[in-house]
Amino acid sequence: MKAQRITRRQALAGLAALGTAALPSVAQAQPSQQPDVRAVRVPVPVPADPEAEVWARVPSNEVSLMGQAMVLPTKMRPSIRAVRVRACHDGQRVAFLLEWEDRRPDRRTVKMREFKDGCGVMLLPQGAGATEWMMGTPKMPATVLHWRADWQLDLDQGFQDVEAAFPNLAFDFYPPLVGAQHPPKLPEAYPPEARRWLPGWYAGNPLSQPRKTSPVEKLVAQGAGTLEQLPTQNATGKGVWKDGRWRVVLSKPLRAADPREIPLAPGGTYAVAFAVWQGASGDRGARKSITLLGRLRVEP
Amino acid sequence: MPKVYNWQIGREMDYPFEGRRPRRQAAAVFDTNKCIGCQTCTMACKTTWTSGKGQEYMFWNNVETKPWGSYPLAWDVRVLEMLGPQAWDGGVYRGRTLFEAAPGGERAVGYLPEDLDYAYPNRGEDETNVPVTEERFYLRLPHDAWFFYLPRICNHCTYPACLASCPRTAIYKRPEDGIVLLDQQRCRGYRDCVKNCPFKKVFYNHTTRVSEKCVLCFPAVERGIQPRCMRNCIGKIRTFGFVSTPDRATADNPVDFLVHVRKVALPLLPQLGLEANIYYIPPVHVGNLRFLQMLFGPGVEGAIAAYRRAMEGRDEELLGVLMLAVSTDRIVHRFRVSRGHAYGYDERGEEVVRVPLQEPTMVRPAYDPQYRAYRYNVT
Ligand code: SF4
Ligand code: SF4
Repeated sequence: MKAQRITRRQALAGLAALGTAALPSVAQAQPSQQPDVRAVRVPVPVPADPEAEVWARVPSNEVSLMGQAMVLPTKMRPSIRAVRVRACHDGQRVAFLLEWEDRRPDRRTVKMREFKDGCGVMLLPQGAGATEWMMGTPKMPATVLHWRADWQLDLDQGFQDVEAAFPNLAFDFYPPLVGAQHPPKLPEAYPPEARRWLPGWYAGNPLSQPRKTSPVEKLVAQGAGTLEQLPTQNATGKGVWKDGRWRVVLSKPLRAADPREIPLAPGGTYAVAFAVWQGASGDRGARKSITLLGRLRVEP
Repeated sequence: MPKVYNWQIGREMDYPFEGRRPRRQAAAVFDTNKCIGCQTCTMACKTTWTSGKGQEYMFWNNVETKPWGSYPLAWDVRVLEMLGPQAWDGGVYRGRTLFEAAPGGERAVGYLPEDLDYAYPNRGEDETNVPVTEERFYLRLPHDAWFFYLPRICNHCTYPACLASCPRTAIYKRPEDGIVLLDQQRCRGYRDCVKNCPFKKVFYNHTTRVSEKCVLCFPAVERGIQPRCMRNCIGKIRTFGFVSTPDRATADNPVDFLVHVRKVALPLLPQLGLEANIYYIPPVHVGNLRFLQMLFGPGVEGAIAAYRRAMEGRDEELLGVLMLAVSTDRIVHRFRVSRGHAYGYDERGEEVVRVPLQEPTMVRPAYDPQYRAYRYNVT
């Protein structure tokens, strides 16, 4: 079976229609159309906390978000208008701070119609264009950092299971957990042989692992619909929602740990794009608010 | 969008992928006339596949009472309402399928149920179409007051909407038997499949946060054994096997015989355009033909006539195939009816079952002199 693909020509037409303005200067009143991010060198280890002092000294840049009209399912109008971006590095790791307004945080993904808030940073080599903008290509894979509000909640408050969303849940017993404390807690109550009753976990799906180590995934994509986790999960970060605003740090080592991961180096220039998901609007996957592909300069 | 041929609607239609049929297509025929609503099939499936945490309200097999029952709530009414009134022209569907009616930016028409929609799996059980407030003419066919059971599993559609809607192609159709599977490793919980499967046979697991669906007991099917829901059917309503396209149908394949030769078994909601592969023998007692036509398409009258011919003893072959249903755990690939017996054969042509068309009966005298007792049951 051959998927219906959006051609490069269509993509370019779409990009032209959306307008590719000349690179605007950093920090201005109107959000810029295209990201132009400078990752400044900081003399301390890059902060994992969005509330760390050092961020105040990092220049910021507000970038317009737009709908995603290239790949099915589309989202014609953005849920979030703009995202404020900062970036820094310490010679070892690069960190991004993304901030955006959202009246209500959507953190849980337990119920059928619960979708999470989230944000992403897509990194590509310099020279990437409209085709690569749509989640990379087989020749030019995109490295994606993805922060998820649901994983953040799992980390902050413990794994959110059925009883988090359905507190009055009653169930006689879950085989094979006869005699287990009720309701059985993940992962403690589940020895390896019991995990086959939780197929996603058993199959090794990263989304189904009850124990989280980071709220940020490091992924690779070679075109729309191909996103997968890279073998080395060394991205870190943290998201904090306060007063109608998400502030999220996403960070990864400059050096690539995996074959298809983008290697970054001080002094280098790369292509970058950002995305924001608003759970309340049903955002997930391709239903996201995105920026155009812009520039990331990592200071020497 | 590529064009594919859907024989159930008698025409080509749009589908997001190019059509490539599996080497063979697993399929089943459910005889609604024999279903007793015992839910043994539901429990057989539930205990095998979905008794884990996060699957509490997940039923890959469910049995609902028509016309009022539905699981999840009003799945059929809602999807038909979204599609709007559409028309058949004889055997050709002139309306729009779910794919053809897709709103801009989507692959198909669909909606995402709420958790409460799953909260009453057996809503409407045994409720008749009209309230039975007075004695009605239940001794003639069809009945004025009626209901019937509709057992439902994933239809392992030839053109699955779940597969078409997954942006990650985490759902695939096996070329060897047409079974539609959802890759538990690749799924990222977007729920587009849940949204766009009109039959609502993909479910979201609250604990693993990814979607799951019926696997048609593929480990059994690979070994020539029928799926659990079929093997355990108390009413013996289920004929499991492989269905061909009409041009390749063979008269000694039980499913082909029921679907293509006698045309007694019909697809569920063929107008949606999925070429669903669980077929139904419509209930003969239902006094609302239009309701049945809405559910099973334009072949209803013919199917009912064919079924009644067999029940009146005028179609031994059809009776024979139906007698073979759930009479063996093995998948019956070929059958034969001769000299009052129906025979079933497996893939290698070996006889796996033999059923008499008429059970041998014995009549005992009503009075038993030895025990000086009257018998209530003499046969
Ligand atoms: S019934 Fe639904 S889940 Fe099953 S194959 Fe068809 S579209 Fe997919
Ligand atoms: S086991 Fe058979 S008779 Fe019982 S409800 Fe299921 S399909 Fe109907």
